[in-house]
Amino acid sequence: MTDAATQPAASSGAVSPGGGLTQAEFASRFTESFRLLWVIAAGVTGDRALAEDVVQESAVIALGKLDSFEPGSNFAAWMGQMVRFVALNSARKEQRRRGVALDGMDSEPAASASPPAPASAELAAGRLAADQPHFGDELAQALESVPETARACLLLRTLEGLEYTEIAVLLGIPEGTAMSHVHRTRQRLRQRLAPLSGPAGGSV
Amino acid sequence: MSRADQLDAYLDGRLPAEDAAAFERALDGDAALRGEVELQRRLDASLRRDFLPPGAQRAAEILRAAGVVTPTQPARRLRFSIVRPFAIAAVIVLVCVGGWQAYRRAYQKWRTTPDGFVRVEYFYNERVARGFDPNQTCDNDQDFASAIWRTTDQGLVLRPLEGVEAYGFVSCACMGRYSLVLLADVLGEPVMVFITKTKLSREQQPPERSGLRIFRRDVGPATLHELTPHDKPYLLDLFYDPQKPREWYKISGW
Repeated sequence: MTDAATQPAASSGAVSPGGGLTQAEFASRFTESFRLLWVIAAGVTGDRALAEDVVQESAVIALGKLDSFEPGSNFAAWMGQMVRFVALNSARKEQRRRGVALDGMDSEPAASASPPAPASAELAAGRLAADQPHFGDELAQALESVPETARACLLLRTLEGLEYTEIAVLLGIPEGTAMSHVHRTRQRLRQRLAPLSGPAGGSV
Repeated sequence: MSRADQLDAYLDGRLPAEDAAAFERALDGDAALRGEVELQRRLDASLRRDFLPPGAQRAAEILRAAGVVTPTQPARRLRFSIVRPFAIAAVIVLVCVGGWQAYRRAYQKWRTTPDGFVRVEYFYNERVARGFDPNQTCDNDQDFASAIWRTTDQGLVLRPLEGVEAYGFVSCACMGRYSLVLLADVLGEPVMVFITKTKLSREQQPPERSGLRIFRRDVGPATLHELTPHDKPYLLDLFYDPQKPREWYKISGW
């Protein structure tokens, strides 16, 4: 767990006497929390390039709301929820642009459908090559079928090693929901990708 | 707890030690379960590779794009530390060159007129500072008149007057391209008379702050300017034409 997600805001710099943040304080805390914010954006959008745009747009929005930051509160959570909402909007716009229906936050993913078409010769044969350590496009396509918040929970857990309670604070969701999202998403990905992983890769 | 929940709890490290040991025993005898664990580990590795977050530099770029001034990045400091000595040296050179040019312009402006002639007050003060010594002295009136004749085609000599002592001549480019300048002491003050061929002569006034005045008199083809700290000319009226034949002036001079 990174400090940015757990430490109260006051620990990473002085807060303006009248509440809110100065630009310098914002810059310092934004830099500390940048990785987490990017992971949230990448999780929600499922798109690396879009994630950077989302974080940038969120930073601009946050700069206009520095006075609304409560001294002593969690900066990463404050920014995280802003990033999450901006990312949801961006993801939906992107989905509309691509003409693909977006799964609702609480809806079941369209993933229950059949696995996507393999991209390589090995995958065409239904297997990952023995020396192929990663799933590549297959994993990306499987992730697209996962609801945005669930995807963000999975990435925060996998990439940043956050505890479920920390994920819950960052995304503004109950801890149980965060845990459930991670477990269900892992299980779904294993089911989708097990056929590619060789004879030993069954599905529990 | 379902087997899937157990697997996640095991991978998360949330299983109690006893349950974790039991799960590992189950792994030994269950190839499918081992494959499932391995699959999840590969999935996690893929996710970490595919979603590697950008570095802090990107955060600084985003802040800059949003108009926020960020603390200098270490790489930037390193680059600056390499560049700084060259930058400082370049600034020093520019300041020196610029300073020298400015000094030269100011000096030239102070020393010469806009059309390139030496200012009379500068010339006067410089000669005074150097002892007001002439480059040529004259033994007699013929020497004196001959020196002026070579410059102006007009022979002139100087009548003696109490309180006036002529030291000799220097030359300068103050009242024309070439002037012969008589240095003299008048009532204890250094006084100059610029002797120039009239058709090549030009006018020049010393500034009031110099405390000097200039007076003019034309004699034949010669123009005389007396530069003096006194409020009237003493020397101009002392010059007269000795009315000698041209040959009289043609003696070897300086």
